Amino acid sequence: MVIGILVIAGLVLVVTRREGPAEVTENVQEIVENYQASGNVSVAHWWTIDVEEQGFRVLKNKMEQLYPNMTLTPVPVPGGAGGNMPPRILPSLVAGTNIPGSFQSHPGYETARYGGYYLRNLNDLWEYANIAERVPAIVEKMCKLDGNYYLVPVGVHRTNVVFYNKQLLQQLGIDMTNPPRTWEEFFNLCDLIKQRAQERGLNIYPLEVGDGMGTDWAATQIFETIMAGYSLQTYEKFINGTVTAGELEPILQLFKRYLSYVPDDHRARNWAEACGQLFNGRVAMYVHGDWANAYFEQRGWTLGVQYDIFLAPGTENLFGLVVDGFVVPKKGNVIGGLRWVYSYTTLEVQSSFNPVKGSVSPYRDVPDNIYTNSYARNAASALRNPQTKFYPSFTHGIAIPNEILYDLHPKISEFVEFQNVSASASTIASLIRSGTYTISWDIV
Amino acid sequence: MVLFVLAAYFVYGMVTWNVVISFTDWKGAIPSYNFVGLSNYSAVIKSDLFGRSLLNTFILFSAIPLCLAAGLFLAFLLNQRVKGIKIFTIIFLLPFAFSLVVTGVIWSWMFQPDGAINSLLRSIRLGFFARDWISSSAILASVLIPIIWQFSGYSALVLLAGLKSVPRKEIEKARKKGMNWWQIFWKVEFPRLRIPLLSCAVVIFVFVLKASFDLLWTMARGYPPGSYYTLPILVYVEAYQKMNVAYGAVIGNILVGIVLAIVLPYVWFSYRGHR
Repeated sequence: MVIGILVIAGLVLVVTRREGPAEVTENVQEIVENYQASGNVSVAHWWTIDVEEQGFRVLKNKMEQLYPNMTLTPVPVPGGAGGNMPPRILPSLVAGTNIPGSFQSHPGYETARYGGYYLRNLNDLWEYANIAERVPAIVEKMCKLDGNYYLVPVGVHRTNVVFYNKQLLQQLGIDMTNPPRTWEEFFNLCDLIKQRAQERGLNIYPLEVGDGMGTDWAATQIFETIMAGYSLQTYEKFINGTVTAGELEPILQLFKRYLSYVPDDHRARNWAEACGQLFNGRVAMYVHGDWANAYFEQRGWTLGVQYDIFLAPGTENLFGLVVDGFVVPKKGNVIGGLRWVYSYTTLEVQSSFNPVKGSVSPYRDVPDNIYTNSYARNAASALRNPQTKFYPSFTHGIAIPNEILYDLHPKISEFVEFQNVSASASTIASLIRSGTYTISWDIV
Repeated sequence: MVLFVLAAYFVYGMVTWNVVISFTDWKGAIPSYNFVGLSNYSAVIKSDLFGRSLLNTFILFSAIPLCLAAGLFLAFLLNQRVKGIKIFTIIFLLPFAFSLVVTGVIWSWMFQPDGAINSLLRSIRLGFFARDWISSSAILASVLIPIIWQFSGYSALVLLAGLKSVPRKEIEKARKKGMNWWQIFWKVEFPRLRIPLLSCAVVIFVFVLKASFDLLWTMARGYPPGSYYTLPILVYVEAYQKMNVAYGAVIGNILVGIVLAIVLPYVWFSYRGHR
């Protein structure tokens, strides 16, 4: 009986333990400048494969160099491009137990769902590290909810890119000096690829989707990019919850045409395996985010030699934005969490991390020469260019409420399956219009 | 005592808590406990996707008799005093050791249009059977195959133990009466398998319920929800992805109700049997 009570008491202690010391100071300067501080901070993140994992290791090592007496314990939450983080983190937040010092999130609606109820307001850290001055206005806006900052950005990805197998297109005698600038030109190019492949007796598909094996969002990603390239006005209405079925129809028509160039068994592959099809020369082009770059580099390909990238048709001056960052829960190890999010805003960590991870630094004082390829240098310069128009990605939880997004993915899957333009336009529009939108986007 | 307290907290406490939540307006990451009566229940029952998920869950339950039939067949073969019986037992039981996610990934590869299944069918001139195994219309039927593959070994083992428990004297007696192998099996051995079959059915029911999330989530994600959503998947999507916590709790309660409706009669039956 006594042993039983002791075991239960022990269990309760383990379940309800809080890491790190109780909060003794709220002064952010004192906290981050205490470089001799000791202790541990646990950080939940979804960067668990290939270069992502290497990128996180850079962040961990750099933080432990900055605070030599501290250790960082990674809490990996793999899968779903971050989609598994809310199910993992919500029970801890609600119960108030086992909360990590910091966890990964996207800004916008994804962070808004936790808001000031669970998260520490990071206004003081933003001011201390001068972040608002260092990042583009749209990034600053995404991170601000109800006038407060809750997330510190670490890296940026561009979503509106098209990868192509350069060697394959050269073999087919197709000149890519001037990549297609409209979707019409893009599909003409697909027809040409198909025709040349047939003439040479090759079994090649012009395009891929990558929406199988757990990455159904890869289809939403293509829908998003087609929409931005077709009409930024429609995109703005979409993310503000006012789009109509009539406005979505021409976009779904283009998407339907896209799907006519993909292999029938596209659902047998996730986005990385879709890249594999391009790598193996079975597929010529793939519309996806620039994180796919890392897939090819990992396998020894050099940008501009075996493969290349062009901006999706109609998006030459646009930047489809995915921002990664971390938040600090109120009831976790706040002091450790603050040191962690501060550590990666420094020029040194930003310059080391982004080239490894394959992302672009959101901090404008990071020089272009840290990037190892021309694509990343161009993306970094586009990020600073005042002519660039930014649009926040809805596929990744930033631009539309999460409960709408998780209904949107299956609606897109239905469209991919049945390809009924008018029916899908109407169901998607009514879904989008049914949401409650707390952020007003002005991107045109 | 310890087990009682742990079970009281982690099982009965949490199930009760889930019932409480289902009557509140908790929607989103931040808890809210305003009483809303049965409105969540009526919203769930009116939802087409709930109806479809319920139907899909029951379709998957058809794996239970199929697993039992396959297990019985294997148990019958293993009971024939063949050489190397231990090796066969291990081979049949091995799939049971796999995690359902691993099973899902392996069978997804095998089910691909140019995967192992279609290649095998073509190589043995049964190419007309080759098909798109994981399509929106076929996924639920296809997923029964890995379920049977994974769990029939377990039922074979339980039923083999049942077959072994039949006294040899009775079998000899039946032989002397001139019964053939089928009559011996049907009239002497099978009646002894009633209890093992029942307990096996309940255990496989639990496994199938687990497979209805793990296996389908691994194999079918990306297809239209109506083609593969089951109740466990719907709970996950609603409560955790969309954070419609109260709405998800309702579906969870319905699921618990279904499980109890099936398991409680069994518990009552075996309790009565023991007495």
